[in-house]
Amino acid sequence: MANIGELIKPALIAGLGVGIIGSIFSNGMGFLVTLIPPLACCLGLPMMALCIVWPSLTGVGTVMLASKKHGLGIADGAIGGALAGVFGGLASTVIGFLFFILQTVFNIGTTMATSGVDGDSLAMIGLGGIGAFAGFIFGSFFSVIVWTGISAVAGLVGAMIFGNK
Amino acid sequence: MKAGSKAFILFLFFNLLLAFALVAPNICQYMGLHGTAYGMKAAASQVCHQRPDRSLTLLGYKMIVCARCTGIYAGLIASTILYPLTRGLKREKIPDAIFLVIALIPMAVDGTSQLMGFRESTNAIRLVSGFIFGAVIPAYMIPATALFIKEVRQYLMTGEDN
Repeated sequence: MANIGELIKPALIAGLGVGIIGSIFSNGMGFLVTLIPPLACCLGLPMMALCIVWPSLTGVGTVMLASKKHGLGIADGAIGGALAGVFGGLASTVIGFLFFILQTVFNIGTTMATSGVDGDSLAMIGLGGIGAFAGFIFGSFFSVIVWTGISAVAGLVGAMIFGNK
Repeated sequence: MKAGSKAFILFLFFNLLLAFALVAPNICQYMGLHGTAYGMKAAASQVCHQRPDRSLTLLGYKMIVCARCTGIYAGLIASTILYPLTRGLKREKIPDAIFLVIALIPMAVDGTSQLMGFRESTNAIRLVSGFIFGAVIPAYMIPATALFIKEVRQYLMTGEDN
């Protein structure tokens, strides 16, 4: 078994690295499609294909980094992948939150520009905004759990392939 | 309590959270909390493309993940609940990777053939192929977690790795 301390560093590097890069890439493309809808036809495909790729890369990346110095067991791969998934999921959620605010402000601006503003609609927008914020926080748990799960499975498979020396 | 039981309880807890998170946005929308559902959907967009035409409907609203992801999570949750009956909590051996690869084949063939434009899949196929893959995951993850719990316990007691 690898020491937990020996798994944390590769998990941090792979998790944060892939989480930040993947999230900027996916969310950036998503926002670009909002701004220029016709782009959906050419950007939609890579976005779809990539959604599950980032957590998988996180798990495999961790195993590849951790197995450079010594062999890794299957359980180590799964746990290293899970750790990386937590870091990656959190990084992805933080970046996603920034894009979420950007997107929400953009949507509110568009709504106000097209349908005008009065007291009632402002109150509705405010209430909706608070609800959306709460929803995002709750949904983030889901996102991090899924990242952790996918990354753990990828780490397990990665350890089967690259782990034993 | 044995490591296998602890791993199972831990895995079951996260699966129940996952199940709740999957249906919560639809319940919110059903109750008129559209803002909250919008926030949840935005958070879940980190892990799924959420295309409406490829998503299932629950309570009259589209689910936050696509049919394939729904299938994976449904398989994962169902298989975890049935795990003590199907594999038992004492089993420590992690199955061969080949079974995971075999379970991945329907999803990979369906997804790849669609991505390359050879054919268009249906939500039923996406759901079933995802379910098959999701259903095998606990057979790997629960013993792996149990093994890890055991090794950590041994490390803490003796200060030695295996």
